Order: sequence, then structure tokens, then C-alpha cells
Amino acid sequence: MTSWTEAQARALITDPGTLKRGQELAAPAKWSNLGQTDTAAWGECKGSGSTPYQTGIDLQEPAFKCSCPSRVFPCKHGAGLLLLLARQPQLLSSPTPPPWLQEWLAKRQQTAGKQPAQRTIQQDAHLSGLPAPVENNDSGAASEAELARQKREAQRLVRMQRGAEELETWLLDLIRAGLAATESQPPSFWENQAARLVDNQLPGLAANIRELAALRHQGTDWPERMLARLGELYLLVRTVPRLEQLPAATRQEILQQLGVSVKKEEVVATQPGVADTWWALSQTTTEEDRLTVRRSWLQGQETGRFALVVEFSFGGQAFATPLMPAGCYTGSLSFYPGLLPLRAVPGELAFTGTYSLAPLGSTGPAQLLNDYATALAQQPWLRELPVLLAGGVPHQTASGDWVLHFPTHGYVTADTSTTLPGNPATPIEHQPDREVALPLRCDELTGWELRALSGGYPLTVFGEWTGAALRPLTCWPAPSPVSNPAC
Amino acid sequence: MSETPTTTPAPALQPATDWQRILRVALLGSRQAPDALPDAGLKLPESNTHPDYREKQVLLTAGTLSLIRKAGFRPAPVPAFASDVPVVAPPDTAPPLGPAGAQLLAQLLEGTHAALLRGFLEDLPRHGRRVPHQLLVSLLEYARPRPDLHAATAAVLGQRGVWLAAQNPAWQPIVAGSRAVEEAVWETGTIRERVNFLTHLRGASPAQARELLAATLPQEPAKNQTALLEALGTGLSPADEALLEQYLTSKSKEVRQAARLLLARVPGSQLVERLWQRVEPLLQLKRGLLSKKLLLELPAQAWDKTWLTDGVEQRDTRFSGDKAALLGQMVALLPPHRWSGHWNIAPTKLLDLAAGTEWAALLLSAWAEAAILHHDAGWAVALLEWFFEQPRKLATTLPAAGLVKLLSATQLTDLVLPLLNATPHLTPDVRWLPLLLLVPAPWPERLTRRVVELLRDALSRPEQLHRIHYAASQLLEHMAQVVPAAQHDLCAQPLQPLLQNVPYLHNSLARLLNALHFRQQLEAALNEPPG
Repeated sequence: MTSWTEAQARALITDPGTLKRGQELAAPAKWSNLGQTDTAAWGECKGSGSTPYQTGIDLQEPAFKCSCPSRVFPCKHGAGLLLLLARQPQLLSSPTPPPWLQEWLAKRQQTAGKQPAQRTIQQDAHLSGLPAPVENNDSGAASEAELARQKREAQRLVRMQRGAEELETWLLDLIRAGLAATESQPPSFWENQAARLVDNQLPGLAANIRELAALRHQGTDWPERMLARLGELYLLVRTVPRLEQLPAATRQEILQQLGVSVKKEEVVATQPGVADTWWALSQTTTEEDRLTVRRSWLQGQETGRFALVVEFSFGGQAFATPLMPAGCYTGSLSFYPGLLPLRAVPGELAFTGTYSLAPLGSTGPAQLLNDYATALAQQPWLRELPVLLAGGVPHQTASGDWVLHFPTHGYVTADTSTTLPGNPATPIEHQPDREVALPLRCDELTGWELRALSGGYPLTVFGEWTGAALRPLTCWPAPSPVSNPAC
Repeated sequence: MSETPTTTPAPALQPATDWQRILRVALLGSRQAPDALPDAGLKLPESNTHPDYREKQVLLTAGTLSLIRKAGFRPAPVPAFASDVPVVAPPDTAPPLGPAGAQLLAQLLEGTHAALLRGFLEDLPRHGRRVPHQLLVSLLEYARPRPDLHAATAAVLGQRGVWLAAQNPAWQPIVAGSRAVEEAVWETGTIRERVNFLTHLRGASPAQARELLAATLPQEPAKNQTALLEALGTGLSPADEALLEQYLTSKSKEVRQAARLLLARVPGSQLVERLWQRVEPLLQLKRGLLSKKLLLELPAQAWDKTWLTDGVEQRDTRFSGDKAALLGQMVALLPPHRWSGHWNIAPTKLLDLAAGTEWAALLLSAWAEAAILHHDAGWAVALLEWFFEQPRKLATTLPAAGLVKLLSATQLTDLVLPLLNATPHLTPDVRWLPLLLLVPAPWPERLTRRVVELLRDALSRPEQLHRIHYAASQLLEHMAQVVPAAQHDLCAQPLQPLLQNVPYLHNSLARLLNALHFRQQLEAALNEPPG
């Protein structure tokens, strides 16, 4: 029987309100007839009505069922049952599923055959915002449809080029007036331009403009950061008039940067699947209004490849995949086309358990900086590069910032005195053994968490390198601190 | 991508200085800043007479330099790290909590059953366990604004946690709290810190604390004087009398109050003797052949300033009537056993006699205050027993919460159980309920058993539920705090089956059962093998 951890259970509960209410139900008093098998868990929960709610979880999917009227999946009862299963599995003691659960499971198995086709179509409609493609065997109609599609694309391209032209004029005006002048501009200065870009079907550029508006509240170095972003944006804008002359991979990359969405099943259909054993290294969830965005970084254990799976959930609905932190999956991923493919669509992934030790295949700081420069040469608009870094010790500097310090030789022993700062003028590649401190981009408490786990010994950290700092996402302490390590 | 700069060789490129130049132009605006622009080796396809040529050049160069700067990122020199803590944490000796224990602690720190956190932390060292590394930051952050948790937290941090806390100034007080408090606090600290300092010092060296206080008090505002004087409550002795007597006539009412309450408690107190001289003639016990009678007079003379030196104010809102207030204050300051000893009579008997006088309410509340002031458990039992035994038609209530604090759970159980048996029904106005709600943790099994019986009876009558709803939920919530985990089955077996059938109350009942279950898990976690 696979055991569930608290973190994994929480990853399946998308809605924070449901999680909170589920926490209150993750205690036995209101439950009766609790039970589980290898593939399902169930119980009856006392609510405000006279009959208890029947709650079940199909653990293979996982999928939830509850007789309560809530339309959120999982509902608070499902969430409570799942947390209870993670925390105190021994309470779910009955081995025989009740009839209502068996009925539901049987129904699920019946529909399972038909489901994949249906789901793809639903997802397609959901993600691209376009009606589902109509399959048509009539070749005449098909070519007609093809013609219509080409016409639509040509129209879209024209609009995009017009939008890019307008943006160029706006950027040139901005530079002419100076960045300092933007400080007195109202929010509408940015928002109007962003809205025009959305109208011209360039939502990727619109997102860029909205980020610029927020920059000046993010520290005194905002002019420097804004200029860098404006310059990079300008490089992107200048590619638009010439889109059709660019090589296919470059064009696809730029189209994605501009915000032209690629349908998931188009990715799956056109890109080769990469089969591997994928480990979920990190998972972060952010909230925007009723939209929940979940970013999961996976790493293939054979290929060593990193893959980013981005999923959206509206109003507490479940995510498309049941990815969990520290989960292992076998199956294939299809990468979005582009210059440096990182984002991927998961195919059928089979959950095979969890891992607890640090993943292998980590690099050091010099390798990271080289890799990043190489990646930028491939994809100049790259924001962050995933990296598994080993050997760094988190430290807080006198100014309160956090750094990941890589001591000269392997482990630091208790009797090693602090080494002198290295000479900054020497290129690191020539001295792979030199000590280095990489800035960490994290809040105060995350820094302390890292420090607590390290105990002053090196950690393996997975994170995103942003070009000037590492955003730590997950870390693994060394198996156990050795008092007398062999260097 | 003819503009892709990274492939263009740029011999004279100086990213750092070029970047500063371009930043200056961009900040001021290309129209205002006529500076020559670095070209970063770029050639624009546009002719240099193009009206926007200069702006285009700024943006292209900025984009190019930004990429160069990112690609060529070089870490800053390694800063010097604080050297007063060991580079690595010493190895931990105690085993951490196991996975279930860690999970429970995380829940406590998130606020689930938060009231149980302190007890759990205190249990850990007794079982030789420590907090696992991944929860140290959450615990330290939780304890930081809660000084009452500092000592318990410091004891469970393990080597790693102590090492960690020493590096963060915000957490240092947690580990330093139990060590010597710095002298500087006395000069510059907040009033609360100063009182803590003085209380510590008082525990170690009473005379030194008194001298320090005597030197400082005259310069302090009245509010501080009150708080600081109260620190003398630790280790009170006749040596403190002289200092305290000065403040009996302070201008501030609060300071006078603090001084007289302390003086009344000094062993062999002169204030108590002076009060006794004043009040003893007013209360007389008249012994007849068959019965005794308590006679009571009000003081003959009116209040003047001399009363103040004996700790009696002109008015006191606790007692109505000018002269009655004088009498009441005196009785409230005197140790109550003084009366029972003086007449050689049991407190209960004395209370019966007092009930027969017209001053019954005054005497009862004054004696109750006095019992609390002098920590007189015997009198507390007598007062509570006498008051709750039968309905008393008195215009006063008893400060029951204060009296109950003087008794152990066993003493209280002995007091409450007979009351429960005498009126074995849970009704909204049943007399024992307020007292039962004051019985602290841990409830003895015999008390829980009896209360559960009463609850089962009450909850089995759904037609009555709306009447007892408030009383029962109060009782269930209180039990969730005070019934020990070992009595989970005692509560769950009779009560859990009722859960389906008690509208209004099922949440309170579920909370009680869940709290007990949670505490059982906490106890099990103490002996769980580490992960």
C-alpha cells in the first residue's frame, strides 16, 4: 500500500479555503465507517443534515466523490478524508468497501475506456479558448477549413505586426522622455499600452509591460532593471516584422514569447515524447483572483532533462495532472517547440512512489554560470534556468541578504577557519576550486529554513537561476553530517 | 536575428562602463541627454539620419548589454560571515520526533489545538526528544513574540536549534532568556523587562533587589511604581516593611493599593496588628448556652488621614456605605484564619453565623478577598462549600475563580462531586455549573465519569436540547481543555454514538472528542521511533 504524506495530500487540494475547512475535518470524531483498500479510501462524515455524507477517494487517479452538495473537488469532506489518510492511516480500518463506493468505482471503470478521447477535447477547448476542432473526413471541407484557418492566421499576423509597431513607437517615446519621467505616470500609462497589446493579440508582451509597471516598487535599482527589461523587450519587438524569414524553431520560440498559445495536443502530436522516469523536484502554487497556477519542475532520471509543467485551475477545480512533490513517475513528456525547450506537456504518467534522497546529477556554481551563458546564447529571452546545485552552504551576509557559499574544498570541518575572500578579477572557470558565493533570491525565513536544514554543511539545492541570483525551490540536506570527512 | 549581439565580436566592449553611460541617457531621456552613446559593436539596419535613430540605439544597446551582463555574471567577492558561531552545528544527541510527531507539531504551530503546544514542548525533554530540523524555524518564529514559551522552546531546540537561534538576533532572547538577564535592562528596558529583571534578582538576592528598588522608586512615575513594587511579592519578608510603609500614603491610589496588599502578607506584619486593633472590638462572638451569635458594629469614628497609614481608604466601591466600606476593607486585608483562630470556631460555622447578621454579604465577600490574598486554601474550601451547598439568598457573588486557584484538582473534585450528586441534572441554571467550569486540568477520572453520565442523560433527550444548548456547549468546550487524553475512551464510548443526533451540539461534541484524540496522538508521539 502506498502511504501518503501530508505534503502530497495538500498538493491535491487546490483551494486554500477547502484546505482550511478540510483540516478541521481531519480528525476522527465526525467520521464513521472509515476504511481503505490499496486503491480507494472512504468514510461517512457527519454534517449539519440528518444523514452523514458519503465520501470516497479513488486513489489511483486520485479522484473524489462526495454526497454533499459542494461543487468544489475535492470538497472539504474529501480534503479531510485525504488528510486523515495521510496523517493516521490506521484509523481507516475497514477493508471492505461499502456498496455505494463499489458502485461508484465500477462506474468509473466503465467510463474509463471512453474518457481519454473526451478529456483531450475538453482540455483543448479549455486551454486555447477556441472551440474544439471538428474532425472531418471530407477532403473538400477539410481544405476549405484549412483555407479559412490560413486566412485567420494571416489576419492575426497583420494585427500582431501592427501591435508590435505601436509598441516600438511607445518604447522609443519612453526612452526619449527618460525613465525618470515614468515615476510620475499614473498606472493607466502602463495599463493602456498593455490593453492595446492584448487587443492586438500579443498577450505575452502585455504581461511584460504589466511587470514593468510593478518594477519601480521593487527596490532602488529599478531604473537599471527596467532598462534591461526594456532593451530585451525591444530585441523581441524587432523580430516581429521578420517573423516569416526566421528558422522554424526560432519562430516558434518567439511566437510563444509574444503570447501565441500552442495547444497542448498540438504539442503532443507534433513533438516526440521523451520517455523517462521523472522526479518531481519542486512544486509552487500561486493565486491570482480565482485562478490558481501551479508550476512543477520535473527531472528525467535517465536523460537528466528538466521539464516545467504549468497547470491552471479555476475556482477550486482539480489540476489536469495529479503531480505531487517528491513523486516519481514513469512515462513520457512532450516539450513545447522552441530554442531551449523546458516547458512540457505530460503524457500518461504512472505514479511509482516517492523518493527521499537528493536527486543525482547536480552541478557546481562554475558549471551553472557556463550553462546559463550557453542557454542565453540559444534563447536570449530566457528568464530562469533550472539547476540542481550541490555543495553550497546557505549563509546570511552582514547586510541581511542570503547567499549560497561554496567552500573551496568539499566539506567544511568544524576546525576550518574562515578562508579569505577570493580575487574577483580571476575568471572562475580557471579556478574551479575557488570559493564562490551565489546570491539567493528568497525571503528571510526561507533563508533561515535552508540554514536550519544545512547545519553549516553543504546542501543540494534545486532552484531557478535568474541571471543574477538563485531562487531556491527545494533542498536536501547531506545524508548525515560527518564529523571527519575525507576530502 | 541579425541583431543577436552575443555572436557579434566587439573588441572595444566595456560592459560595465558602457552600461552606466547608457543608463544615464535612459534615465534622463535621450532628448535631454546629448551624451555620445556606446555602440556595443552594433550596427542598425536603419540609416543614422532616421529621426528615431538615437532612441533605437539606446534600446538595442541596452538589450545587448543586459544579455552580456547576465551571461557574464561574476559572483561578488565572498563576504565575511559572522565568526562568533561555530561554522557547523555540533551533532545532535537527542533523537528528533518521528514523522507523526513532526506532523502533529506542525499542526500545533499552524494553530490547531494551539493551547496544547506548551504542554507538548514541555513533555519533549522529559522523553529525551527534540524538534526536527525542518520545524526549527517555524517553532522559533512562533515562540518569538510569546515570552511565556521561551523556556519551553529553548529546551527542545537541540544542538542544531541552539546553533541556529544564536545567529538570529530576533531569536537570541529565546535561548538567552533563561540565562542571566543583563543589567542594562534595568536602566534602559521597558517597564515589563525591568519588572522581569527585578523579579529574577529578587529570587536570587532579595535584599539587593530591595535596595535597587528603594533607590529608584522615588524617581519613577506612579504607574511604574505599582508594577515595580509588585516584584517584591517574591520572597516577601519583614525586612521589606519599612520600604512598603512609605508608600501606604502615596499620592497614587494604585501605589497605596499595591503597598497595602503586600504589607498585609508580610509575616508578622505590623499593618495587620494595627488593623486588628481597630477591627477586633467591632466583631464580637456572643456565646449563649445553646447557640452562638455574631454581633457586629460599624466603626464609631469617621475616616480621617490616620486611617490611610493603616491601609484603609475613605471609599471603596466594593462595599456600599461609608462606614461599612471601612469595615469591609479591614476584614478583606486581615488573614481570615485570624478570626477562626481567635474564636476557636470552624470557618463554616462562622459563615453560618455571619449569614444571620445584616452584614452577611459584606463579610462573605471580604473574607473571600482575604482568603485569596493570603492563599488560605482551608478558608477557600469552606467559602465555596458553604456558598454552593444550598441556594443562598445573598446580594453578593463569590470571587470563585480566585478561590478555586487555591485548591488542587482533587480538593475541587471532592467539593464538586457531592454537588453533582445532589442535583444530578444538567440545566442552564444549575448551581454547580459555574464551579465545574472552573475545575482545572487534569480532571480526575471519577469527575469525568460522573460528568459524562450527566451529559449522556441530558443529550439523550433531544426535546430538551434547545434549553441546555448553551450550558452544554460551554461544558463540552471546557472539557476539551481539561480532560486528560487517557480518558478519551471514557468520553468517546458513551458520547460518540450521540453525535448523529444532537443538532446544535455536534460541533462542540466533535471538538471535545477530537481534542482528546489529538492529545492521545501527542502522547504517542513522545515514544514514536524517530523516522
